[in-house]
Amino acid sequence: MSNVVSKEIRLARRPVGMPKLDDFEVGEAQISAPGDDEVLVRNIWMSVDPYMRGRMYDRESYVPPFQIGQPLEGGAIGQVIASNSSKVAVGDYVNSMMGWREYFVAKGDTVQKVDETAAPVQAYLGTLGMPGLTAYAGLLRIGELKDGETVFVSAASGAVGAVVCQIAKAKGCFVVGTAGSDDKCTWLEDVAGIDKAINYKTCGDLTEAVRAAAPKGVDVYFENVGGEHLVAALENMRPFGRLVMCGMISQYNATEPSPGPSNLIYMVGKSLKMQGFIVSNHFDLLPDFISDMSKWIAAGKLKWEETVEDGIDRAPQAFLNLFTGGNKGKMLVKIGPDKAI
Amino acid sequence: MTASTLREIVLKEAPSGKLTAANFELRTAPMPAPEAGEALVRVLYISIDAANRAWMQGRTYREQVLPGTKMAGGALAEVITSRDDALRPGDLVEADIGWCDYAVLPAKLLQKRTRRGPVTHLLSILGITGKTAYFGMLHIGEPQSGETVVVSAAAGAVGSVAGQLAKSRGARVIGITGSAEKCTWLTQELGFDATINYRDENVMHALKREAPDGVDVFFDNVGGDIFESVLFRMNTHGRIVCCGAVSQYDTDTPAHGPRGVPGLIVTKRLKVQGFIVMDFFDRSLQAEAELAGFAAQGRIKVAEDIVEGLENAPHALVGLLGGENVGKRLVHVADPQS
Repeated sequence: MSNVVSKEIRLARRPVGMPKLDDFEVGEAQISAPGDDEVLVRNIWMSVDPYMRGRMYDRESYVPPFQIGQPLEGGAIGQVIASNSSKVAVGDYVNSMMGWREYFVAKGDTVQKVDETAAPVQAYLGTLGMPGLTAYAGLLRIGELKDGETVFVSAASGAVGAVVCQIAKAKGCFVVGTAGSDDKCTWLEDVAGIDKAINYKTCGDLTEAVRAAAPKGVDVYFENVGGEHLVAALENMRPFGRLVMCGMISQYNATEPSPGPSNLIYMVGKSLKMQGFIVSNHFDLLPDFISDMSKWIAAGKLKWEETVEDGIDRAPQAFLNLFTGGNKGKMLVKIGPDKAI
Repeated sequence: MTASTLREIVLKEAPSGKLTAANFELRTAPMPAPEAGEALVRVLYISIDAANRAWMQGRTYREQVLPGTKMAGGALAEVITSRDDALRPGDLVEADIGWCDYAVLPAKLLQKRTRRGPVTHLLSILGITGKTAYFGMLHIGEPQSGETVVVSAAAGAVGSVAGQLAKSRGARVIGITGSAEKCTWLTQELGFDATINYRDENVMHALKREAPDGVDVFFDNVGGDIFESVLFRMNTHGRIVCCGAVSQYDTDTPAHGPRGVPGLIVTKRLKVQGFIVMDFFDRSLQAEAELAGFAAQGRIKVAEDIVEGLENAPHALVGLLGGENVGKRLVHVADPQS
């Protein structure tokens, strides 16, 4: 296979506050033929996720920071077009962390083959991928959800939130979720089937809105947002409630750490547990996750939406849209043809 | 002979801002007689706790203490007369009897206590504060040998026991407190490894010195700015035991919440857990036996701070909120007759 030219998106500079298109640049890289045990993959889909904002800061976190002038990284689904690896064959669809570029070469054992017959391949970036496993591990292991409890989900129509909502419904729970538009709220109630969706932009006092939606209180809060949502959750938690701390999209672009909730005192009075987690500590749940999710998908209990931007040049815009609520469900960028070969 | 009147202290008005002794008044009432199923008790010691102040705010596990009613509070008492088969004169009992010298209560609310050592131990090391330290530190914080543990309000009734329990598990223990005398007492008398006087220096900077490898368990009695400072020094997979938030009780306008919530809780994968001692009710007797053993062997030093006289209960609480006590603060009302 002759050399190929791969378009890629690089970090031009570290964003301050809300990222801008100028913080990114498009470059080209020469991709050489795969060596021993290596594969050449052409990407079809790539994911943009809120956590990537954290890697744009030059600071220690649970993943190393992105480097200026280097291509960004993230989840991607592609098809193997050349292989010197016994692990994967030409034509296989694979999941990798080599997003933000059209082609790449990697060791065969660093990519994961996905079953393209179980669901459309891009689902492995969302409902059947990291966001789905995040929802599953967070709700069931960290949140210790019991059947029939009341669950409050922030950013409920997002890639993680929508799965949280529907797993909770599948377990017979009463589910209240927030989203930032009436359109998203309608989807949550009519398609995802939750009990009450709250438009946090128009509901007025969020604490009162949650109280009205769940008058008996909340057993498990799934935190994707931070800020006012966490205050409202703490007000409405029932004794022995669990707060699953998954993300804080309202805080990712803040240049100064913003004050936490002023009502943290409820942690004591209501015997609450608040626990942070990241999905990579819970990969041991993968077999259970795939088995449960396949069952729920087959039973029609799991629906999802995708917002797709077309072409790798649009990837930075797709990423920025995450912070302005420009996506419904999983935000994806289509960066190659469905069939690479 | 029992007196014909009793004395009790009433919350006269809801405090606005800081609590003062003027928010209370002492009044007398005719001595009540127990009816069937009730007992008349004489109060021996009243437990003074930061939580007493939180009860006036209403956002707790207990009904709010409303103006015009007797101030609530845990107390140890002796049964004088009983009209219930479960209790006999001379029995030691504990309940939320309130700030008074005598009271009539339903027998089912009076928990019988067995004396193990000095009678005051039933309200200190073997009381709610000792058991709070026990369950919070050993069941939620779970310090392992070699880990670093930080305790706030370390010279208080809960903190002084919590720190000693962490020492007994082989942890390195750092106490945060508000005076040089308390710092000396913690290291020299109770065996803490290090202390930080939060009135003298920035807690976050001091922690870089005293806990260079970070903090694994934080037993927090204080909340607010100290919570925030320690949060920034927590290690991945650390545990924060939320036992109290004394900095937030005595005010109408709680400080802004700690920065780093929720961000650091996610990135460091922390477990932050609140609790009250009743959550562990089923393990209470076991805890008491173990704590009594520690006290008898001298493995835990029991620190008590006793204020004389029912009429001084308001000052005792106001002073406790200002940090003047060392160890468990009690108000002595009467001595046991039997």
